[in-house]
Amino acid sequence: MAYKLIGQNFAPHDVVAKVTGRAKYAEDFRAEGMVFCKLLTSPMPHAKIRNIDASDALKMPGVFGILTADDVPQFPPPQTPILAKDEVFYVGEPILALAAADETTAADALEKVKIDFEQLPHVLDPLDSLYPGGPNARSNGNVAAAQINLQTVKWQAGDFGDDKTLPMGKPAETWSYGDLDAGFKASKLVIEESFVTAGYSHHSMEPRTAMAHWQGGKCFLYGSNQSHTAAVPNIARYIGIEPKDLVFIAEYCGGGFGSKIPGYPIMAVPALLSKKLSRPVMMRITRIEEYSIGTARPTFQGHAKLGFREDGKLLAADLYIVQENGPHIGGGDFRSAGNALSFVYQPDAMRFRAIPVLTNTPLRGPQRGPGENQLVPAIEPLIDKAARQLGIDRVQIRKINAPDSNGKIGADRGPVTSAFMKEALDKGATMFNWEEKKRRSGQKNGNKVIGIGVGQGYHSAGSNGFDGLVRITPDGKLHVHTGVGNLGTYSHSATARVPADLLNVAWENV
Amino acid sequence: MAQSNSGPYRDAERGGATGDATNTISQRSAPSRRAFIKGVIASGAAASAAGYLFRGPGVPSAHAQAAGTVERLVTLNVNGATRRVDVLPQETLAHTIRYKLGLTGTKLGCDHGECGACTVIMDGVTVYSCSTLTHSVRGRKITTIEGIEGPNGKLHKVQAAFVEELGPQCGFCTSGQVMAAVALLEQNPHPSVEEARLAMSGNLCRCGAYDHYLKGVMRAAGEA
Repeated sequence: MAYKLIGQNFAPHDVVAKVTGRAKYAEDFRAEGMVFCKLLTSPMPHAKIRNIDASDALKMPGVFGILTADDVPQFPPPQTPILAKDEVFYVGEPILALAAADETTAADALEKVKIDFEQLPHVLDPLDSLYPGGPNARSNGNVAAAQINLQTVKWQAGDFGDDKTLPMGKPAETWSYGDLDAGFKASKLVIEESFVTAGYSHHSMEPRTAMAHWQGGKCFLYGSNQSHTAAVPNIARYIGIEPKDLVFIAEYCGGGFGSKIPGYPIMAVPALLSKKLSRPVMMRITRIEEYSIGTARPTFQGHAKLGFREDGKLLAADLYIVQENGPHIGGGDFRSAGNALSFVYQPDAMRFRAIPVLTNTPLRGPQRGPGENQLVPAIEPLIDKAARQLGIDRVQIRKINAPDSNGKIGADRGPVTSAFMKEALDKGATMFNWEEKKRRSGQKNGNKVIGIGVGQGYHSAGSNGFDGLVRITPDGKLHVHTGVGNLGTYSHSATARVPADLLNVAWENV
Repeated sequence: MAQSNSGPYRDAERGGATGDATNTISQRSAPSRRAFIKGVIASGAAASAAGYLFRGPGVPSAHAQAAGTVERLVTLNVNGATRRVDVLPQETLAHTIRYKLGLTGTKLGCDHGECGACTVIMDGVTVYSCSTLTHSVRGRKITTIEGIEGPNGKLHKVQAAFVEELGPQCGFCTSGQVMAAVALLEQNPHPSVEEARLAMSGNLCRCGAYDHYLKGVMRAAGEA
C-alpha cells in the first residue's frame, strides 16, 4: 500500500510553539495564590532520622507549612518513597518539603529545621556489600529490585575470584535453557571476559518541576512526563487518590530519556502540600536535586562466556550481571540485558544469572534501552574477537546469529511479533559500503589510523494498551487522542499520521 | 551583568560559556550556597540545598523589611516595550522576565550559567539571563524569544528554518538556541559552519539535536 503521509517529510504541529517559546512546560503554569516549596534533602548517604523539629521554621512569617513522610502514602520497600521516613539512603534524598510565600523564605526556613541523624555505614560498590561483613545500603537488606523481594545476600570470600574473573556467588535471579555444558564442549572457540558499564544521570534539560492545585475535589497537577496513559494511575497512587480525581496536565516534556514514563514519587509533594495548605504549590526542582532524584542508569559489573561453532554460530552463552541498583527499586536492566543476549544472538543454550545490589547512590532507573544498551559494549567486542579468531567477516558473524521474525527471546523462548536484524545489517553494510571500507581499515595517515566497526542492539518497540480515540468534527478536522506522551520523539505526530493516512485526511486538518 | 565584549562569539572570547557568568554566580550564590540546615545534629553533617531561589510573583515578601531584601522599582526595556517592575537586589533577569513579566518562553535549565536555555539578547549580545542581575540591565535593550517574531506573528527566519530542519526535539533548549542564532545572524549574516558552531556552543541540547540546529542556522543564513 502506498502511503500519502507515512514515510514522508512533515512538520509536527507542535514545533512552532517550541520555536516561539509558547510551548508551556511544567514551570510555565501559574495559579492564583501560588506559593513555592523547597525540599530538605539528606546530607548523608545513609542515616537514621531520629527526630525532625520544624517548630522554629513554622513560626517564621511567610511560612505556610511542611510535608513529611507522615503526610504521604507509604509503599512497601523496595519501592521508592515519596519522602524519607526514619532512614535516608542517599545524599539528596528528600526528607521534607516546606512551603512559603517565596523560595528565599522557604530556604531560610529550612535552615531552622533541626534534624537529628544517626549516621550509618554506607556502600557505593555492590561487591563491597556482597562481601562477608560488608555494609548494607539499608538496615533491612542489600538486594532488591522489581519482582525481587528485599533480602540480605552475602557471598563467601572464596566467591570473589581474581581480577580476571568476576565473583560469581549466589544470584538473586537465574534462568537457563538448552544444554550449556554440551554447547561449550561442542564449541570451536570459547571467549570469556568481564565487563563494567557506567551509570550516568538522565539529566533532562527540564528538571522534574511540578505545580499542583485542587479544585472540585480533583487534583490538577502540572508535571513533566513522557507519557499520559502510563503515568496517570501511578501518579494517582503516589498522591493516594483515584485516577479519576487526577487531572494531569503535561503539554510538553523537556526530555525524559526513560526517567519520566510512569510518573515519579516526588510529583506527589506539591499535590499533597497543596491539599494540606489549600493553596496552589509550585515545586521547582533544581539541577542539583535532579542529580539525586532524577535517576541514573544502573551500572553493571558482569562476566560473559560465549562458545562459538567454527562457522560463527553461537552455541552457548553464560552471563552474570551484578547490578548497582541505588537504594530503592532501581531498574530491571539486568533482566532485559539477559533477554537481549538471548534474542540478539540466538544462542542454542544459555544461562543467565544476576543480582541487583542496593547502594547508597542516587536513584537508578530505566534509561534509553535499559539493559539492552549496557549489554552492547559488553558483548559486541566479544563478537568481534570471535570473528577475528574464526576468520569470519564481522557483519557476517552477526548475520549468522541474528534473529528473524521466528527468533526466540528469554528463558521461555517466547515469540516476537517481528524482527529484521539480518535485513538491518545488510542495509547498513550497503549504505556504509562495508566491503569497500573494510579494505581501508588499519591504514595510517600521519598519527591517525582508520578503523571501522559494526555494532548492533535491540529494544522492543510498541506496547499494547495505549489505545486512542479518533474523532472527526464538523469543521473537517481529524482529532487523534492518544495516551502517548509529548517529548522530543514526536511519537504523537507519528501516531496521528496513521489514522490520517488511512482516512485520507490532509496533515493540515489533523 | 553587563558584558564588555561584543559580537556573537562570546564563548570563544571569554574562554567558555561560563566564563562571564562566574562572577555573577559567585556574588549571587553567597547566600544561596550556604548550608541550609544549620540545625543538623550529627557527626560532621553538613547540608546543602543550593539552587533556584527567588521571591514569588506578587506575593508580599515575608522579609520585606529585612536589610538587603527590599524591592526597588526599575524600568526595563523588554522586547521594545517599557516595563516597570519591582525587583529585589539579588533577583536574576530570568526570574524577572519569567515570573514578573509573564514571559515564560525563556527557560531555566540549570540556573548556573551552564546550559544556555535562558539565553536572551541584550544590546545585540547574548547573555544568560539566569546569571544576570536584573538591576544591572536598566537602560539596556533586552530581547526575549517572545520579541523576535515579525508583525502578525510571522516567524523570524531562524524560527522558520528551525521548523524546516526540525531543530527542536523536546524543545526545552529551543528558545535559547533561537536567541543565539538570531544574535549571530545580526552580527554576521553569512557565517561559516564553523562560525555558526562556535556561536551556538553556549547552548546545550540534551536530546543531541545540534546538527539540526546548525543546519537551521545555515538555512536561515541562506547558505543551505
